[in-house]
Amino acid sequence: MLFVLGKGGVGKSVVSASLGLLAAERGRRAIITEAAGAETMAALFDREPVGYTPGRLATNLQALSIQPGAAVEEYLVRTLKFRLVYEMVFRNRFVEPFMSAVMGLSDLITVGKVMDLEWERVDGSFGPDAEGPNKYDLIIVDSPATGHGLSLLRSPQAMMDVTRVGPLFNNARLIRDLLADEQKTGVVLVTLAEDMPVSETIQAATELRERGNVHISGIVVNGVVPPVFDDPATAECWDRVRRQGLELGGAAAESVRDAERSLRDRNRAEEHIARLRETLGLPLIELPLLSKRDLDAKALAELGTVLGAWS
Amino acid sequence: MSDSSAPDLNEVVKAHKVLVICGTGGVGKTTVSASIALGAALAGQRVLVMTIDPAKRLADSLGVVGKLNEATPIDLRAALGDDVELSEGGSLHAMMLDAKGTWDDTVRRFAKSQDTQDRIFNNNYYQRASESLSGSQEYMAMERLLEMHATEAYDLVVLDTPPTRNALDFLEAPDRLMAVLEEGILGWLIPKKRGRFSPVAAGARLFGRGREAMFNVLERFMGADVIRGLADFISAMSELLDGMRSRAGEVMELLRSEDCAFLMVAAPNRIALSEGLYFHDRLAEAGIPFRGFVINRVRPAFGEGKTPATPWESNWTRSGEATYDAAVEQVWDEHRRRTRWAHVDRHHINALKAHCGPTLPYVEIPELEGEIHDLDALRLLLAYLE
Ligand SMILES: Nc1ncnc2c1ncn2[C@@H]1O[C@H](COP(=O)(O)OP(=O)(O)OP(=O)(O)O)[C@@H](O)[C@H]1O
Ligand SMILES: Nc1ncnc2c1ncn2[C@@H]1O[C@H](COP(=O)(O)OP(=O)(O)OP(=O)(O)O)[C@@H](O)[C@H]1O
Ligand SMILES: [Mg+2]
Ligand SMILES: [Mg+2]
Repeated sequence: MLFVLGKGGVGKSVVSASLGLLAAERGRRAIITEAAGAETMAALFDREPVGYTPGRLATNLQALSIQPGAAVEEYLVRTLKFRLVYEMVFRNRFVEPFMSAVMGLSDLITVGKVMDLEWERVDGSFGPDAEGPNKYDLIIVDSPATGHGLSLLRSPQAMMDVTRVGPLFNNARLIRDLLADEQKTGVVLVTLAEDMPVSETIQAATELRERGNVHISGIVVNGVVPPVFDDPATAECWDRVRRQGLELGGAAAESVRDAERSLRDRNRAEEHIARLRETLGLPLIELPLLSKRDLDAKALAELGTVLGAWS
Repeated sequence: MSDSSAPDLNEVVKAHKVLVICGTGGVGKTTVSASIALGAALAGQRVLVMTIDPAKRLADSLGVVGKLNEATPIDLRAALGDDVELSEGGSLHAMMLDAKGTWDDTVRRFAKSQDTQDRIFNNNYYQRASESLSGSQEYMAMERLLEMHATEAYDLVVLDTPPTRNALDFLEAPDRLMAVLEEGILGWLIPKKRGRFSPVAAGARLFGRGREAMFNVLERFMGADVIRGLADFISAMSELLDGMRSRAGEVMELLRSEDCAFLMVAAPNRIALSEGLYFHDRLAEAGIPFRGFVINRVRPAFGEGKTPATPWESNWTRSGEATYDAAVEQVWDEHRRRTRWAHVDRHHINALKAHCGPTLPYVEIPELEGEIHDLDALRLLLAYLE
């Protein structure tokens, strides 16, 4: 299981999709889950919304959108066999958010659903003790933007702290143990090469490490301006090119000014990346900023190839 | 920068006492709020800017670090130096909003007894609910706004808003929060019958038979302590509902009034701008005063018009030295890329203007270099806000 976490808009969904495509390409059966009923994957792959049952995005790649209502029902009724609680407390669309917030249930249920997927076997058996090959080789969790999605990872412990006994407690403990298992669970932190996102990523990584109950697989720095020059030899010509362009004026000078700006942007990005590397010392990979406005499956596959250098 | 037939942004700022700065996550709401506030203060108004989660260094330069919900004066002279012109009477205060603190105040204000207050503050679930009930942060920002507006200590209050997926979330937050609270508290005790819930009936129910059956089930599910805490929280909170409901009404009244204007910060991309359009239309329908767009982080380019595919079709000439010519081509690619970006941005901005008409101010702020985290940088931004 890979949890893809990061601040709003940094590219969590794009990274999740690219990772999914990469795994699928390598013949692994992958599924991407989204929380809070989001349907970004369907939009990225130009498909109909997948809903709460896994839907196909590409060969070997599925997606699932975890809808709070359906997940609560499934969790309470099917997993915990508490139909009465569900009927009495959670059926109402206003009561459900209230109870979920007060109890911290919605985050727990999202992670719980992910654990269910991990428990599914090819032969249809299910549960912590089920044997045989997994139905999914890789489960990617495209987390919601709020609070870095950290609350997702905290939710089992939080639930254990309030309940202390009972089926809810036991279930939360199973989830916590699965998250803590380095062999099974990892976190990918996504950020941009900018001041605020980098600071928040450092903060998030530090917090995760201090609590020590989930393994950080690595950091993806997304949307990095690519270098202007593709090799040192061309880069060495820059001073001369610059002088000549400014002398020529007109379009040549404009092109020099644009390149100057790109070089400065690139330098700033490199400084931020260096700060990340030095402070955290985690595996780190850069994803280039693509010029396309709306990324399609082809662009995602391109980013997937870049990520392929990683694992 | 704005159309000649439209009022400029300065006029909008001058004509209102409350500015609400909306937009989706990360577009620059906090930056733009602070900059507008600074501009109004320099122009001689007494201004308060209420920010939410400013970047650490911006918070430093606003002097609000560690001071939650507290209006803190900023010494503009000291911050900006002697060369900057300050108009007579202008002042700037900044406040960093804290939802939890505002919840605490709300509880203090509406709890009918000290006992209720204590029961809520000492309840485990209170902390959780005040942090994670959806709409909580937005509602609490509005609550604080109402309070600061009422002091009449400021000519202008600029309200930054929390990041939302959809800008309308902000406006709908009080209703949503009240619905969730009311139904959450009362609804789970009594299955909804015809008509409205009555707090009295709910109270009766709390101590009646229905409660017992359910609590037995819940108790097996989560343990007795949890249920006791939850029941206590719910019954204590139900006392606050009337007060909060009428307060929410006052907030909406202020937001609809002549005193108030909404500005939307948007990035010049398709998704953000189509959301801007939607927001504009919904506000207009709801009678909320939408007064302009700040289009932020517009990507600048030095070129104009079309750029040919290769530098050799422009005034660059080949040198014959392969590496050097390759470098020129790569510089040219960069130029093409930036020109294309600028074109795309322009295209989206024009579409927005065509939809919303010429009567609104549209200001554009380019993508600047580096972070904007001190008053000097905010002042540079002002040049674009006119
Ligand atoms: N490497 C990239 N190059 C170009 N555009 C990108 C890149 N990565 C992301 N984008 C664009 O940035 C936008 C935000 O990306 P995405 O939706 O993945 O972010 P997110 O972190 O999932 O956002 P949210 O927090 O709203 O879920 C999208 O419009 C996407 O097309
Ligand atoms: N015109 C601009 N040019 C360059 N950087 C900018 C510009 N406007 C804002 N920024 C930078 O973008 C980052 C995000 O800005 P800001 O915090 O104001 O956004 P926000 O909308 O308040 O975000 P959130 O939704 O997370 O509260 C900051 O680092 C800020 O310095
Ligand atoms: Mg996303
Ligand atoms: Mg902000």
